[in-house]
Formats: sequence, C-alpha cells, structure tokens
Amino acid sequence: MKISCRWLKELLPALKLSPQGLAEKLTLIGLEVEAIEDQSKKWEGIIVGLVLSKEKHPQADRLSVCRVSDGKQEYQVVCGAPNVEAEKKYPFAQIGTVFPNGLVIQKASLRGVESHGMLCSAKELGLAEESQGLLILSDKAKPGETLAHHLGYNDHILEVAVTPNRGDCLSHIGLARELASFLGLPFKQARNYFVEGTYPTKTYVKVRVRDRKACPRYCLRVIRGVAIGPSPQWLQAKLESLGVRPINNIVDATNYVMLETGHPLHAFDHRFVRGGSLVVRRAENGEVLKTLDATHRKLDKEDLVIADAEGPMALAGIMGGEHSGVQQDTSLVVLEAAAFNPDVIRKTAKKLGMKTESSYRFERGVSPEGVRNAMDRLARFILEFAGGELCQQITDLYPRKQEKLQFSLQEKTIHRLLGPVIPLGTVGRILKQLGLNPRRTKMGWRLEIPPYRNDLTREADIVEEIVRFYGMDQIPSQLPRVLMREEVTEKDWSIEKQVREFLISRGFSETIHYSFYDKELAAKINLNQEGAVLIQNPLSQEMSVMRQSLVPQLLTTLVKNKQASSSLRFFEIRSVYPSSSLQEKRLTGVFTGALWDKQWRASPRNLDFFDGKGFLTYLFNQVAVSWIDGAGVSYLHPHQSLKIMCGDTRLGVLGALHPEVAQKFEFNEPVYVFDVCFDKLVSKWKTKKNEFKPLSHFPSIGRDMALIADKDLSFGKILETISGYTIPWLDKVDLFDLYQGQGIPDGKKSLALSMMYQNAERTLTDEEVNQVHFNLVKRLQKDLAVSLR
Amino acid sequence: MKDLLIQKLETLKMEAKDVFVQASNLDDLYQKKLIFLGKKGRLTEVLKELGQLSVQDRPVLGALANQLKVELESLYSNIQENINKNNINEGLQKDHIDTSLPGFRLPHGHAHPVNLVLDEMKDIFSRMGFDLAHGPEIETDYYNFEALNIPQNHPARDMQDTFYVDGSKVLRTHTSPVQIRVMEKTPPPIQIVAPGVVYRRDSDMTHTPMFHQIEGLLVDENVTLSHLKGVVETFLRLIFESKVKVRFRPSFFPFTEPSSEVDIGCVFCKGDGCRVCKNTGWLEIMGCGMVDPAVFKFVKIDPEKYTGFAFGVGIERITMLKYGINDIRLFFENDLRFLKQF
Repeated sequence: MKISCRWLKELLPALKLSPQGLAEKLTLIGLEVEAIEDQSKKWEGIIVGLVLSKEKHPQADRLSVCRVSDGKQEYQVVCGAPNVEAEKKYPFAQIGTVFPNGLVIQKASLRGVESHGMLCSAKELGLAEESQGLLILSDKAKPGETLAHHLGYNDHILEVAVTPNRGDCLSHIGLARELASFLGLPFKQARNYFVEGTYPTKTYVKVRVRDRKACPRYCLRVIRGVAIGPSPQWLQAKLESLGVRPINNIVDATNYVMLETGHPLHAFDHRFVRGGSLVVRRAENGEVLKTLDATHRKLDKEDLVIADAEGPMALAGIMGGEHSGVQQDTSLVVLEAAAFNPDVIRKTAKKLGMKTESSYRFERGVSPEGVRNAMDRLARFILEFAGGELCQQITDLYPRKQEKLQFSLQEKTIHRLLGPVIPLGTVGRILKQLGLNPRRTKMGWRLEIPPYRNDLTREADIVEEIVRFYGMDQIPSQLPRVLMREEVTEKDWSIEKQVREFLISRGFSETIHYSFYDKELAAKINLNQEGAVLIQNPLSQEMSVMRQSLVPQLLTTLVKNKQASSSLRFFEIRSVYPSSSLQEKRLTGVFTGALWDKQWRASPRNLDFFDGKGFLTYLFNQVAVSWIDGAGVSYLHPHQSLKIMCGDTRLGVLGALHPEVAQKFEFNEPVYVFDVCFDKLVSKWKTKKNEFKPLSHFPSIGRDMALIADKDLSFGKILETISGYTIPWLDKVDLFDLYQGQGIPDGKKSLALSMMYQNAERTLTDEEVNQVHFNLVKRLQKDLAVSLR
Repeated sequence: MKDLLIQKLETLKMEAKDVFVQASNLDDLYQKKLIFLGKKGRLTEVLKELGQLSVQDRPVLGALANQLKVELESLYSNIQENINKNNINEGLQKDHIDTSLPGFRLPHGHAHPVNLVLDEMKDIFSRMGFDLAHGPEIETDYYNFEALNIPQNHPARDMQDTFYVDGSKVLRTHTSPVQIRVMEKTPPPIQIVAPGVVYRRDSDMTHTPMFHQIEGLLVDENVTLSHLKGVVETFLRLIFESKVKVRFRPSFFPFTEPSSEVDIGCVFCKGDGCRVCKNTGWLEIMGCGMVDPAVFKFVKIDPEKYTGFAFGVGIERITMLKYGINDIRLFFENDLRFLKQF
C-alpha cells in the first residue's frame, strides 16, 4: 500500500521524523516499508518555463522558434506544438533530461535552427494517456521551479507491506493512529462540518438489508444538484501519487476518503436506482451483473449484491455496476458506506477472480463503527468539490451495535511465551499505549479491544502486541536446553551423502529439476503415465504433470549441455510421484561421451555400459545385489540392459538408451541410464555381510586360461559353472581379456581368465596346482563346449 | 730388510692413493683396487716377503701392512661413494621432467549449490540437537492450511499462491505441514527440522515455482521467545560463517504468535545500502515465531503446559547470498557452466 508522508504529517502535526526515519519506525513495529519513493526526483531536469516570445520557423511552417525563460536565463527552443503561446508557462525539459522511455534531451538543430531543450505535453510526462499539444501550467507557476514542485510532487511515498491481520492499517488514518500510539504523539481525527438541507434522504431512496450477517451496517446519503467535473489539482496530484487515477470529483472523493479512513465507499446515480429503493441481498442463482470493468458477472446465491427493484446494481464491497455509476450529467448522487462480512466478500472475489481496493479492505475487515464517520467525510468533500445540497437525515441501518470485545490477559501467559523479561510496569504502560484500556487485576489485566482491532481476540495476540511495542531486539537471546536421544532419520541422509559424494567423485554433476514436467516429454521415453498427478492451475504446459520418473528431465539436460563438454554425466536423488498419495525417492543418472577429457598421455575411450556397471558395483558394495540380464523397461535397449536385484526386490535398472528413444532426443552417441529406487536401496543398505577372513601366510599361485567359447555363452554362465564345482584352493577368478575377430572362428569368442589358488595352511606346489587347474579346464571343456585357445 | 719392506709399503700406499683417485668409474676403481689389494695384488706380493723377517719384526710389519689395508679399503669406499654420488647427480639432470605439464585430469563432478547449503544447514541443526523430519509434497488442504490456522477464505491464503492437484490436494506451499504431522504423532519434547521442496505459483528473477525450505520446530515446557532468538542467531552465525548483524522485526504468520521476520545486515554492502538490499542495509532471510495456540489445539497439545517456536528458511535465498548468485532460476536450469562453479 502506498502511503504519503506528507499526508501522515498532516494527520500527525507532531511527527518530526524524516521519511527514512519514519520507514524505520514502521518497519520495527511490523509494518514493513519496502520502498521509499522521493517524488521530487520525478521529472528530474524538467522545470517551469515561461515562453517570452514565439516566432515562425524560417524553414518550417509547423514549427515555431520560442525564447524560453527559466527566470534567470533565456533559451532558444524549437517547438512543434500548435498551442504554444507567448506569456504562457509550460513544462520545460532542459538539456540532459532523461525521459522514462529513454529519450535524452540534447542540444539539437531543427531545420537549421538550434534548440536548447523541449517543451512537454501531458502525455510525454506520463500524466495522460493522450494529450493534444503542450501541458499549459497555471499562472501561479514560477519560472525555474521544478515541475514536480509546481505540480505538488514534493512528497515521499512509502510502499508499506501491511500483513493480512492488520486491515485497520490500510489507510492514512490507520497508520497515523498506529504511529501516534507507538511514538506517544497526540492524534485527533478531524471533525466534519456540513449543513443538511431540507429534503429528507428517504424520499429519494429507501434501503432494506436482507442479510444482516453479511452487512452489519449500511449508511446512505443523497446529495442533490452536484456538478460533475474534475477534482481540484491538489486532490488529483495526491491521488495520482498514491497510484489512483483521478476520474471526477465524486469518484475521486470516494477514493480520497477510502485512502484516508480505510473505508471503501460507493456512489450511484439516482436516475439508475430503479423504483427508488435499494436492497442488500444475496443474488439469485443465474443473475447477471455487468461490472464497471465491462465484464458480465454470472452470480449465485453466495454473492452479496446491492440491488434496486429490478436487479443487481453493484457487487457489494467489490465493484459497482457499469450502468449505475456516476455519469457526466449526474446531478443527484446516492452515496453508500457500509460494512460487509469479510468471508462473504472474499468468497465472491475469489470465485470471480476480482481484487479491488475495496474488496482488499473488506476481506481484511472493516469495522462497522467507522462507517458513519467515513460517510460524513465523503459528504463533506463532495459538497466541497461538487457543490449541491445534502439531504436531511442519514439512512443508517445498524441494528446491532458491534460489541467491544473484552478479555483478561494473565501475567503467566506473558511469562510462558516470553519469560520474565519485560517488567510488569512496562507491560501496563504498553497496554495503555495500545489503547486497550487496561485495568489491573490480581492475575493480570482486564482489556477492552478497540473496534477496529479485529485481530486481537486472544491472549497470545496481546503478547505479540506487547513484544511489538517493547521491541523484538530488547528480548534477550538464549539457547534452549534439549534432551539427548537417538536419531533415526539420519541414516537416510548419511547414505544419500555417501552416494552423492561417490558419484560426484566419478564425474557426475548433481542436478535439480522441477518436480513437474510436460506429459509429452514423459511420452518420449514411453512412460506409462497412468495415475500421473495433474496440476490444475499449472504455470505452463511444460510444468503441468508431477513427474513419475527423473529420466526424461535428465535426458533433456544432457541435450542442453551437449556443447559444454565431451563427457557428460548427471545424476539426481529426488522424489517422483507415481500417484497423489505416493512419493518415492529415486537415484537416477545419465552419462555419455568420453571416459576422460581429451588430454596428453590418455588414450581416448568412450564411456559404455560396463563403466556404468562399474560405478554401480562400487556404489552397491554394501548391498547384496544380483544383476539380471534385460532391464525390461521400454526406454532401454533390450540387449544392453540389466535389472539390479536384491533378493526378490527390484532395486533398479541400468542400460543403454533404446535407439528409438535416443532418436527422439537426437542423440548421436550412445547414452546410458541408471534408475534406482532410492528408498529400497536404503532399506537394503548393509545387507551384504563382510566377514573377516584370516590372512594366509603362504603364497598364492596364479594360472591363466584362454577359452574359445560360443559367442552366446555368457560370462555369467561360465562363472556360475565354475562356482558350481568344488575346486580345491581356488580363491579368485578374473576376466582379463575378451576378444572376437581375426584368429577366432566366426560365432566364437575368446575369453582369457586368470585363476588364483591358495591354501591357508601350507605352500602349494606347482604340480598340485597344475593338476587341479588341468581338471578345471577339462570339466569346462566338457560342460560348456569350450576349447582351449 | 725391515726398512726395505717398510719402504715398499709406503710406496705402495702412495701409488695406490694416486691410482684410486684417478679412477673414472666404479668398474675402473674396482680393477684398480684389485691391482693393489687383490688376491694376487701388490700387497699380497709384499706380504709374501714377510717370511724373510725376524720373529721380532714380523708382527710389527704385519700390523703395519694391516693398517695400510684398512686405510686403502676406507679410501676405496670413500671414492666409491663419491663416484656413486656423482653418477646419481648426473642421472638426476638427465631425468629432468617438465613439471609445468598438466596433471592427469580425472573427471570430477559437482554438487548442486542448493544441496551444498542444505547439507550445511542439516549439519548445523543436527549438531544443535534437532532431528530430521519429512512429509509429503503433495499435501492435503488440512495439513497445508487448515491445521496451521489458515482457514478457507482467510486473506492469509493470498500470501502464497497455491498449485492445486486433483483429489482436492495441493502442492505444499511451505514445509510447515511437517510441523503438524510431527506434533500429531509425537508428544513433546519435540525438536525437529524438516528440509524439503515447496511450491508456489510464481515465476520471475526472484521467484521460481519450486524451491527449498527448512522448517524448524521446538516444543517443550518453558520454551520462550528468547530461545527462538538464541537458536536463530546461532544458526545464522554458523551458516554465514561470521558475525552477521541480525534484526528481528514483528510480522504476521497465521501459525505463530508472536511472529517475526528476521533480517540480516546486507552481506554485500555491509549495511551501507546497495541494490540488493534496496538501500535498506538489511536482507530479509527467514520467518519465525512462537507456535500459535490455535495450532496446538489442532494437534491436541496443551498450550497451558507447552510452548514452542517454529521457523522457516528459504534455502535458495541463503545460497544466493552466500555465493552472490543474482538469478534464482539458474538453480533449476542445470546448465553445466553454472554447476561447475560449485
């Protein structure tokens, strides 16, 4: 909300703070000032210029050459506006002025005549959307004074963030009241002086309130014979500086009083009050109202309207109807000031997607107690700005006066929340300052809450008020005592950290993607999107579905970073959302490109499936995993993928991206993916028991064998066969070469295995190892149809 | 005879010394040693003549010959050592490598800055005695709003723009629902932090539709606003690794009362005023307050017996301040050029 410092000072003549000081004080009591705008800085370089003489441009019919004075010096200015005249004053932009659109005024030559500056129109100054010719300034303008000063723009405007609980601070009086009590300044609201005429209000409009809960108070006045026209210049400037567009004297007066008191007001043209009666009621289902913003609003039974004999004229507390407002030729105006129920206003505003200055305030609570004063101020100003005669006797429907809330604040409540830090005398003083009328009791204080403070209903609310005025910074800091106990959730975090650190050490960079993506993106990897959670109000199509897999976004990131490096590895440990009641953590990685950066003494090689298997083997060295050929997921290559199992639990998959999917993402090189269910991984962590084996004191003996085998015979099968035998002393089997091609028959491959034999009790002899090894070879030859190379 | 032999030994010693010193390498030296000290060497020759000496003279000369042998052996090993040293020194020269050549670059990845800072925070809070707690990101209206004292049709709902998903659920707009979930299940004392992802329907230089928060909650007997201030100040000092100025400023949250925003002295201009702090010298960093009695009512904790405090910190905000990052969207673009900097 924009607040004028000058206006605040008008309301609080004793307020001596600078705008910065004021901002600081407001911020410290919870009314945060987000920005301070110095209005005198508006239109820097533009001053009031007096045109001394005007002559025709020798070369151009439409241009005139003027001599312009700033009170001291004279300047020659070429002007193209038809309404430039000698002896008149105009906004004069001097050399160096920068306009909001970036235009810089420089010394220029126009058709051979030098021009030192520019005379401006209202449009150029941003004062009007359209304008014809220059803005003519009043006779009172002093040549040389800044335009901002002359137009009354010498104020500081504060942008105050008022929290939703402080509806009472959404006005200048509200803030003045708050500052007065905090700073201990005198504050008195102005009295309204006016004279009522002889025509009774009732003869023009009769009012009925059908829903008293929704509208606890409704005031109405009528003024005869107003003359619609522009508001006085000072009012226009005041409104404009607070971001409100001036319209006419009636509408401006309603806005002015709203900015002053916080009470939204409305004016109808009496001609459009059909049947001479108003009723405040809920709308009929299907009733339609065209509001001021030229939109047809379809209403239902929840919505509160002000209606005449024939139908709705205004959405109560939100916006007037287009047909019933003040027109250029209005002479009989009907003024409304009311209090509406915040919930009712909010429901309708939210449903219709409307947010107006009026609804904003009503939603936060407007006290019925202030309605009468707001109405009288409005009447006073309209009589001043638009003339006319005020009708006799206000209509004021206020059947149940708002009761003053009273309750007790106990000392022990203050102590419980704050500790014994604020002396009780100080508490009493603050309560008084806050206007809570405290009466000391045995246990604490009896309080009476002012009607505008609808946020104070409980003891805790009052404690907050005390802290606010006492000063948060005055409360001492202290660390609490805590209980020592066992922590269970840390385990997940520590595993996650280990996994992350390992992958980072292996060249993987960590990503964070939004939790939502495009359905189309997920479709690229043939994801079964059944049960996917859709966002009902997404920011865009690209962010409309809660992801069920991390793979699509990681692939996109690979594509995006193609240029960045010859080797790309990314991973993410994060949630996926299979359904609206299910959230699972996944560990997903993608990699492609070179194993090393291109560099000296490193032979280039590309990352492949077995690098991935290597990473995961290391990663899962605490998990009893088995690798099953074929991942069985449609986005992976069926012949270059595997499932990672732990017992019967499928932990995840690893494999090359299916060529079809790779094509959709336009990858030219093979891309590898692993996707692991992190929650399951955590539950299986340390399932592998690492038992200690005593160290042997005797040397081991190694033997190699090169087998020619059928191409389709898997290494796994060979290992499985060997471990099925009982080979004495065999300690370790490793594959150290795999070869296909020249020298090996078609359909065959050569596998070079190395075996280590060791006995824990004695040194083995070559002869006995040879015997055992020979037997092993023979059995393999027989069982697997392999031959020695 | 005796004198002649003494003379011979003297000569032998002189010659040997001269010859040893001239040896050009270890082999040469060895050959030269053999000439004098070998089995068939010159010393042996002299010793053969000892037999011709008298019984009295024999031991005297024997001792002399022995002494000579020891002396030459020692000279030999000295020279040997010298030659060896020279050999190594010459070799060192030849083995010179260009140490300015780059070392082997192992591929190394990078942690995401948000996770770095999140880890740091979890660390700090764990050490202070908070447990970790978690809750779902797809939340019910009850946990995200209702039980946090934000009823339907309350203007406070405007404070956060909400994403709705089907089944009348929302993407949680803050980590605060975890407070409720924990308090429902656990009797006090409660001391948790809940880190996680939250969502708001917003997108510009300073807002992304998804970001991270860490929520803190401590409920026990005799917990006061002073404790809240103590914990928050300690946390901020640790996370910014220095003494930062901290300011508590009254504010409003529906689920705390009293509520406060916390500002720190601008880390960029040190309070002089700059663009980042909008010339105020202060940066808004987190929100906190004493748990509202209405919230205790929802989770059936007796507000007469227990009090508590809660706080919430935006991780991206702190990460931006720590590293001087100017656009929050960078965190989610996963541009390697960005990630590589951490």
